[in-house]
Amino acid sequence: MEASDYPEAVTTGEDWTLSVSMRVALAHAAVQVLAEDCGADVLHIKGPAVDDSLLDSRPAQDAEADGESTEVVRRSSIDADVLVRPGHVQRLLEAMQSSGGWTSVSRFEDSSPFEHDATLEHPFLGHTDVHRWFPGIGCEPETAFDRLWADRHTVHIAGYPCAVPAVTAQRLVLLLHAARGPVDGNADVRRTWDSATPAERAEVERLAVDLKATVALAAATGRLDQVKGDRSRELWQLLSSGDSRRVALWWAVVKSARTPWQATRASVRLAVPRRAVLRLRLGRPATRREVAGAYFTQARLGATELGAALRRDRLRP
Amino acid sequence: MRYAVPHRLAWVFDDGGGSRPIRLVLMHLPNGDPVMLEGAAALIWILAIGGEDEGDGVASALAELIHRPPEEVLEEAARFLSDLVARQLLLQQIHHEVKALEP
Repeated sequence: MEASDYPEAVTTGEDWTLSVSMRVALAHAAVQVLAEDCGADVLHIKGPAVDDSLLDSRPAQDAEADGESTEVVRRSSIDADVLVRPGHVQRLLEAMQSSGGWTSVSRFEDSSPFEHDATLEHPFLGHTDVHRWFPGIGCEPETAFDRLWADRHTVHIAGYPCAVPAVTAQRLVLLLHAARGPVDGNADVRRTWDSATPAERAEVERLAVDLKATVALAAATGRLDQVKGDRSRELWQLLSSGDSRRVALWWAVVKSARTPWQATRASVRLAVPRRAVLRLRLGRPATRREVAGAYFTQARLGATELGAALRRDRLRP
Repeated sequence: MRYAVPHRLAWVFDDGGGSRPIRLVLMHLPNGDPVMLEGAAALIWILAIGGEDEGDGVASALAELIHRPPEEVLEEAARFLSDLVARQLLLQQIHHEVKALEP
């Protein structure tokens, strides 16, 4: 680059694209500023918020490296994840949307059977998932946030100070996240549990007891056979084994609900199509006719799976 | 005089992995238009916030990094630094103010 090119080297975002990891880091910083302005307590989780000690490393690619230097391999993440104090969720969502940057992609009710996060989209920064609680944690969401918030520390993401949970809590969050899918061969489980020292594992287990997250932790670490008599055991068995059959998952979520109201709500939510999923599939908001069609398809799909489950149970010796 | 990162300016850096020029993206939080500096432009910003004194120090360090005589880059580097300050992508501070903040 010639010296006279310097001023022209300043370009705005319309003519180029950023890597996902850069966008995600900027999104974390942007959400942090909005949270400060509206008085919302926010913990940054996953992606660039993860402590280096929980990541893989590799020999440094720097040409001037001495051959022994290593560099951290950042955990890939396609969106920014934040955990918000439950009582502050609404004010953060309003601040994000009124800032003119973010628009809602999916509501809590649309996110998953757990209804744990809402997704917002920024034209340049991509998606941000705002969590109001974390699946696998069984105590009251506000109590859980208090526990994580008390041990927080600050790291710089995109050059801006952001609050993150303690390393032990980060380890637990990654394990609980891993438990929602097949855990065999999961890289997060390998880094955060298989590679942990006995003392580090004991700290995670103590925190899991405090947060009532022992069942999901057992699922992540392949020890569900040691869990007896917990109503959420079946759910975590299904999730951590990769069993996504809708009816089985539906029953497990309903059975693991803490209250009858939650059980009813879960059963209804799982039986109806999600508008956000339809929107993503169609690339635009779904019409009433399309939503109605999806209801019919979902009901038929559920009936097919239920029929298969019944036949399987009937044939079981 | 020294340079510092302005309040609520986010920055992310991509070293290019050795196959492309380094890139630096700056963004006024929370919703400013992102700005990209590439190659020598990114180096100037990094050197400036790294504590190099004024334009001369930045230009000298830049010249060393890109293997050019300092006098060849001095004027343009100073002009570019002024441009960054004008765009509020860099903050100019007086020495004694910085020292007062240091422990």
